[in-house]
Amino acid sequence: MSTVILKTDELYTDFYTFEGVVKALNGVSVTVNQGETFGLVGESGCGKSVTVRSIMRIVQTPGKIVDGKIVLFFRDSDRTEGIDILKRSEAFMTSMRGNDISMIFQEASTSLNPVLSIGYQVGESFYFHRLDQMLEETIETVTDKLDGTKFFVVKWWRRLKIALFRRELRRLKNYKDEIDTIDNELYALEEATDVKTVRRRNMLNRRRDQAWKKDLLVQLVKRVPFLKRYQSDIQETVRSHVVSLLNSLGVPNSERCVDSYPHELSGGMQQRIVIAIALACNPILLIADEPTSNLDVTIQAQIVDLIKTLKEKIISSVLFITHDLGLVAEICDRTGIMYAGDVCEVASVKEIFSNPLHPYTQGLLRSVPKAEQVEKLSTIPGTVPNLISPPTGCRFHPRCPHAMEICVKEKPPTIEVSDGHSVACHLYGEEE
Amino acid sequence: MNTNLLDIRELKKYYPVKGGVFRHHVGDVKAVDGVDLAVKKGECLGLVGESGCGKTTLGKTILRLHDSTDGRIYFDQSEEKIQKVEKALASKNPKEQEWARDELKTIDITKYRGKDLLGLRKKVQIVFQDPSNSLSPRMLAKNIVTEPLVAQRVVRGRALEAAALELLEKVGLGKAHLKRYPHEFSGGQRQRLAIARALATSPEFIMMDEPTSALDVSVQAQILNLLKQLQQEFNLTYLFVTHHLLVVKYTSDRIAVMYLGKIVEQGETARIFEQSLHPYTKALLSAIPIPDPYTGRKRIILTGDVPNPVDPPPACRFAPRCSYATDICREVEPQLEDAEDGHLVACHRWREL
Repeated sequence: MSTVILKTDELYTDFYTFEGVVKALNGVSVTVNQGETFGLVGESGCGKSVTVRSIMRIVQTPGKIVDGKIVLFFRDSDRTEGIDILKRSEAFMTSMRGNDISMIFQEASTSLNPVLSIGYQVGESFYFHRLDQMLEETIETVTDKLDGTKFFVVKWWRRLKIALFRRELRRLKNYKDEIDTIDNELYALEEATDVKTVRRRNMLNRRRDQAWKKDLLVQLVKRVPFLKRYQSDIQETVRSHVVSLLNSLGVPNSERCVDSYPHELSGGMQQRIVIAIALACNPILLIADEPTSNLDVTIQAQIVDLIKTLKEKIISSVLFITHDLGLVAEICDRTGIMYAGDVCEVASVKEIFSNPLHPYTQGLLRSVPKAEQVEKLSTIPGTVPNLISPPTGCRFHPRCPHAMEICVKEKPPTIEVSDGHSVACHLYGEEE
Repeated sequence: MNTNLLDIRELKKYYPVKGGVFRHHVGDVKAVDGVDLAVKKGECLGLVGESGCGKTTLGKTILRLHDSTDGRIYFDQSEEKIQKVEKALASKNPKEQEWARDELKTIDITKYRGKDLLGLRKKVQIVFQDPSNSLSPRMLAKNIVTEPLVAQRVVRGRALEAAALELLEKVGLGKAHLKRYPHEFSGGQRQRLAIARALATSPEFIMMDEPTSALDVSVQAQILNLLKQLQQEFNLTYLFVTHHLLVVKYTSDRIAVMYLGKIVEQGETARIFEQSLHPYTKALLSAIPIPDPYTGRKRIILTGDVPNPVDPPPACRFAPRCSYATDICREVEPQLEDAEDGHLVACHRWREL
């Protein structure tokens, strides 16, 4: 049995619009195991993107996560219960996004900032999440340079730099220790329900958010026009890391690429940059939200190949979102089919393609043009329902060829038909 | 009797690039650079290529939505006449050339003006890529589909509504949809509206500019089936522009593969899929993700991107990305040659590969 890395449990997300409440997610339960690529498939508007945005807690404003659990198991192995990130503070999420979980967004051209250089945008995550490592390396290089210098002014300037970097590093380490102790205590209080401990937990969360204190001297130096140039050393360290990262992703001319802006690059290159940003801190889970939907087939093949090789080398698990069943067959190990906010079927890829059980999955697979297709394509009649007033019971019943009376009344429970193959449909489970 | 509805000869479309202080002409984006193509009556020709290779520009030039830089397009002309004119153009006799140029004014659609053009527009129609952008949000469905009829002054007044209903029924919509705005329709229904509008003037030729790229799989299948059914019903000729190869395989009789403004391979659909000759087509075919986890096939992964069409590679345009390229590929431009009954390929080394 492989270890679970991410688990969502009965997740409900609503969007409060003027027309009414859009019930985008209707109890989504998904698990991603260590070391696998999980594909989330569905048509547009079925809630794939909302699911992953909920996991990252970046649902846009009219949207709200109403109910459910998102449990992460990424820290030490003794934490068998996992962390419910819906109960944690925003600052905790900020420290986690891009560090433990990172995301590749749909359109590379719109997810990159057009006014910042590539080097800045990729380096930001090093600067944000790996500042201690950067500081240590910078101190080392400056100390190396210090040994060779004879000129009086340069010598003292370098000594000042080292002092400032050491100060920052010390402050950062204190902060991390403090946060660690708070996190340990918070972890113990995770499941608490009584008023006193809940109050204590909220207090700890607040204290965790306010723990970062700035160093007065460093702040002062950063304001003085000439002195603030001392930071150029750390920028150089970050830059060298960015260059080596881009090299490992197969970006040609990575030295030049670092100084260019997004519009100077082609679509495939932009997507590589977005992947570089996501991979900067070696995340344990990479969420890829339709990473190839706007690219050409040949470029798509390049990117898919890249993600495949990266998965073998660096990232442990990938949550891959797509509407292209061909891509799922190509790179995923397990897959979940979504329809109108429900996960209707979860199984290994081979199982889904050879033995689809849910009527929607069957219809979807039949309506895809295949390589050896000659005869007429079969279709699913009707269209995706409006989620402001979704169909009662099973949300697929108005389009389902096997709809029964019970489908109109009750939401089907998820039943495990065989090992690792579960389906949410009233057609199954009765006989067992 | 000519079996070709459309004959395209040496068609070129350049977009000028302006630069400098006085915005002078510094170069050209060679979007379509010398294309020879023939579309037979009643067939569906799939035009495949990566984005930026000029497939949409080619289609729009055929429709006279863009004016071509050079080249000739014959629409529904007799074969003898085309050959006669082409021969005269190629000859060195100035008198014959002048005669040919006079003749072209009446048979070459790139030279059509005024009434001729209006008449042409009746016969050729287009379905655009994204239905949500190609339908006016302020017009009712009935006005959208009958607008070509109004512009052609075929129908007017009270008869319009009946005509609109007839068109909507052709594409599987009904009376309830007549008085709705585009935003009230779903994506698939919007594309149906766009198809109904293209059908309004009962054209002979329809250009499909990626009609299903903005749609979901289950809806895509509905639209593709509808297009096939309409083609049989009204004996239409399609130019099907898309980058989705499996869609092309399902809809088209013949396929033309385009790369950087040139046609590199052309032939029957089955032949292209089974024994493609050009290395670009091979790479393109191997890059399609096939929805079947059991296919243990090897992918050919191309390195690099499509080169800039302002300054394309001098000889074979695919040479910088081609793994089989030799010196001749970088020096001499390959011409389309017939490999076997109508299977054309533009590559120096197709015999060896």
